Amino acid sequence: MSELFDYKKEMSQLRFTENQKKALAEAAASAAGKRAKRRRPVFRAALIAAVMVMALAVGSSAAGILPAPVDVFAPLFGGAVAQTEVIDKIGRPIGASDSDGGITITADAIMGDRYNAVIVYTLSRDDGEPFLPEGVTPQQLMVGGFSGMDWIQGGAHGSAGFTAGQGRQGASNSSVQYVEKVSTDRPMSGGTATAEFQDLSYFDAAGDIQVLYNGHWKFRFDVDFEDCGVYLGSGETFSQDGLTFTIDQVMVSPIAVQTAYTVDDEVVWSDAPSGRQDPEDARQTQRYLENVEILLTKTDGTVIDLSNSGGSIHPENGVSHCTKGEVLDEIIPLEELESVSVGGVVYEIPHN
Amino acid sequence: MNANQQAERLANAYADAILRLSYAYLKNTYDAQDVCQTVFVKLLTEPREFESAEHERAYVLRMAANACKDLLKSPWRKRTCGLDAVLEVPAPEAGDGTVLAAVNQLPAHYRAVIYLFYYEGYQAAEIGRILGVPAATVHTRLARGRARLKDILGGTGYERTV
Repeated sequence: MSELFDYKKEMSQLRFTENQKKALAEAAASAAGKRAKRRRPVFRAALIAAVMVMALAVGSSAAGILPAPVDVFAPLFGGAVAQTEVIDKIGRPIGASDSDGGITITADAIMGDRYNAVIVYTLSRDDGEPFLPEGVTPQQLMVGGFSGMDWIQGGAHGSAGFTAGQGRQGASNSSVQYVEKVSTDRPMSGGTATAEFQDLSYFDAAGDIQVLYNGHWKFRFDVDFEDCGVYLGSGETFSQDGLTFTIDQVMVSPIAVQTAYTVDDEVVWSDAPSGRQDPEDARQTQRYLENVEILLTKTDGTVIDLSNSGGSIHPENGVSHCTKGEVLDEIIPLEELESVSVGGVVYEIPHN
Repeated sequence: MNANQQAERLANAYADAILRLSYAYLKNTYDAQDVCQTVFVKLLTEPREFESAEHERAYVLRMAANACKDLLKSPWRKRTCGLDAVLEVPAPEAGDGTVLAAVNQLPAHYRAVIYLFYYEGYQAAEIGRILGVPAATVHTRLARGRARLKDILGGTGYERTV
């Protein structure tokens, strides 16, 4: 078939030159030699995420039983809580910042939906000089400290990382942005966030940690934002892998997509030892969760495949209640989103 | 065979295949170089015995597929080339109306099975083992991918026995 031939021909054009292969081999051999003593940047992300998750776990464990941790430790935190005003659904803390060692960290904005939130911080040098040494990118940065979030209820997970904030109006090389993402399994409520940062470091080319700025920054601010999600879905069904899926709800916001659906069969898990997944359990997870396709289509025709999103499966009374979704890689205004497809069921995204 | 010779053998044998599979997943070539690096370094530091050349090739493609999935899932996916600029590989020209442009409009997991099936020539069961999904899922993705290609390309079918 000529079209198939065209595809193979086009893909065949994609190849490394002999010199490039040689360079690849040399780089791989060199990296393999260093690997034993090298700490890879991926650990940085894991470290930040672990710190974040730990902070969230501490924050949520006491909710509803003990006074909120932030109240108990208020004398230690000190300082007034910055208020937050909401403009166009985005919360903007007023005066939420702290300075130390010539570096100021400011909480700029909070936005989110019922189950997900993004907090953006700006870190800037007070003297206006470039924030990063030459050759160091924001992705190499790491920071210590923790985020106390008494506004989180229930189970939560999150991640955090640095970005240059490229494209942001007024962005300069004397600052970088730090973005925290939080997802919960219970609706978020207002409260007070505590931001605490300790020392800024980066991984150098050899994978070693170099301290960039010593300092300690701590401040609190009110968490307030309007739910900017739209809620779709009311009982539509699709079938695959011998199962029927009923879509209970699809939530789309500028920062996340979350789906909830019910499968017409109750998953039965094996008694595999803790920490080891049984192959049958893995197969069941694929049928109930992983094989459910979620596609987000932008108005420019770009399709974002969210089929690899995480989720949960709760078997109950002959059916299985599932959730699946994730926080997006970038904030996308709803006006730029055209539709979301779950298992082939397409929902147009309303633009009010 | 020392590490340098082994690295050279791996690059000569698999760099192009990894590049193409990575392009199928990620639609760019600069991440593909990082994927190559990830796969080769792992093979050099954790050597394995393979039953045959086919077994090794399938294993390498599986590692590459997993590395691509990790990149796709990473919220902080790097969009810069990790190696020297000398390694820049021009992406194929996926002009309007070409099959490659049509394939690139499909979701990543469809693009991967289409590449492995139509370009590498693997059967569904083999693709399932490479991607870590059931063969039935591969059939489903191939069928849906073909149907979408048919729509995009204006009615041309992509039927072939799996």
